Amino acid sequence: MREVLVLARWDGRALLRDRWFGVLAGAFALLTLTAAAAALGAADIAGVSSFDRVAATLVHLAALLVPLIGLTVGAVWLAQDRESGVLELLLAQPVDAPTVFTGKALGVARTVIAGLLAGYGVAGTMLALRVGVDRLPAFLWVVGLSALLALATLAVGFAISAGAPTRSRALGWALLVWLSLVVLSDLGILATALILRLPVTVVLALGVLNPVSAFRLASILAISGSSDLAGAVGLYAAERLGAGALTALLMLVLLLWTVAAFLLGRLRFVRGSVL
Amino acid sequence: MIALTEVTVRLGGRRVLDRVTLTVAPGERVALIGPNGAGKTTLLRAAVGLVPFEGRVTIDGRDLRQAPAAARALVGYVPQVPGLPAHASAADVVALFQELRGVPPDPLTVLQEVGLEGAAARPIGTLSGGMVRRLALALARLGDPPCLLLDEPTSHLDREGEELVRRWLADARTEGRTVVLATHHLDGLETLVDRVALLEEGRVVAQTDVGALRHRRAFDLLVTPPLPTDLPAGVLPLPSANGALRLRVPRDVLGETVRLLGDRVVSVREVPVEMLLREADR
Repeated sequence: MREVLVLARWDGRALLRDRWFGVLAGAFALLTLTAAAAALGAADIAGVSSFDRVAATLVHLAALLVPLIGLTVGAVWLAQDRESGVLELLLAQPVDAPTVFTGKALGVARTVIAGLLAGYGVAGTMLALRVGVDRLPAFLWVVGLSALLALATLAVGFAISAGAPTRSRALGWALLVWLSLVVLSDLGILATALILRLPVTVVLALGVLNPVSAFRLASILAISGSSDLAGAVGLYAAERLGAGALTALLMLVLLLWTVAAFLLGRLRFVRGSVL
Repeated sequence: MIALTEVTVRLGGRRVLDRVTLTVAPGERVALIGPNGAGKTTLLRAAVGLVPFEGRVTIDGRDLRQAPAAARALVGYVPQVPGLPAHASAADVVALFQELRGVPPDPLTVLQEVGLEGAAARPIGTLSGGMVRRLALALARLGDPPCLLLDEPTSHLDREGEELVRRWLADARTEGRTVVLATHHLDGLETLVDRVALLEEGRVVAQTDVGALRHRRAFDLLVTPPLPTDLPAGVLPLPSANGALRLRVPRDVLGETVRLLGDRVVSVREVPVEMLLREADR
């Protein structure tokens, strides 16, 4: 356990020096701030609920950027250490492979979450100053769900990294997975449902099994407090399960992705070679 | 003691090590030699559990598969190309490895041992190849491990760095440290090891103790006929072609033989250690 914490502290600090992470985290902070400012400005003119507008904007932004950060940072992390020979030296120390994997994953997760909180913090502060703190719990829900999404995609990234021989190959796979989860998944489900005439329960299951969709749906439920804005799948699911149970299910989906991908990555790492 | 028993390593569908059995006694220093791709680096990696292997590896009786961390605690390893995090400082890296080995962090003392105290705060990415190599050597000795595995320990080192390695190898004997080093050429290291093993195509094809090897050191001479009848004892004629003659001359009678043959000597070539090992093993 001591070695896990030593490595977590080291890798957490190392990620702060990583240029790629710096660019992504900076972009996230800047975009959340810009999006919040723009949405608040629009609200002032239109006179509609400014919180909902800002929160919805942030959810859509997070659904794009958080998986990108999680997948790419996670995917390159072990692969770049393997490529540069750092892993070879590290695994020759009195630590076993699961310890190295766990320590590195924890360290990176800690820094990524801290980066997310910093990014949301700017927008949250602006929101609190402009519209008050009445809706703060809903905002915190979105932040918490984003953290879960970050953990799930980081775990998938680490699972990719565990077996990738080079940084570039790991990055390629991460971008492919990101594209699949963020863009292609909904289109794929739609097309499959139409062609195969899938029952609605299967379409629902396919929809919520995607961690990005689960995050988006859970966040919308948290912001609006109802399923009216949750889309056809969300509306149907909320009616069948109830909003509370659906939120719990969606969070469970995110947790399962995290645990399953982490265990898969650890297995790949332990069974693989450092070369 | 390091013991590899029937160790096989397959990488990318290729058998890189083929049922290698090698035992290195406590305090013994063994040099692994062989051509590129012979399996020297893979053997060292298998000995520290860095590649999946079949067979058994034990370090001082601790099974590498069953207790990898405990076994690795007894080994200091220097890879052929030491990979260290480019953005971290030398002192930070030493402190990290000290923490992983359960040693109280004291990076400056460690860096002083290898003459890098002036580079303690510098990012590794700004250090020269030789400095990184020295740092890796320093890391290998953290926690005073009883076994050292060194892959090409003198490559990229300047004269001072090479001297450092030689001193450590010499000290290893008095300290009772077990050493396995891999190298393309012995380059004078034969005086600092006890045994030499030759690897070819993933197998240990020959091994002998350095004393026997030193005794067999010889030169091949290409000479023009006729041969004098009073050649020194130990000189052997070898099969030859193109009308020239070849002689195998033990090192201790080389001067005498060359003087005797005079200008009939066309060329003198030291017999490669690999060839001597193979011949000694027959």
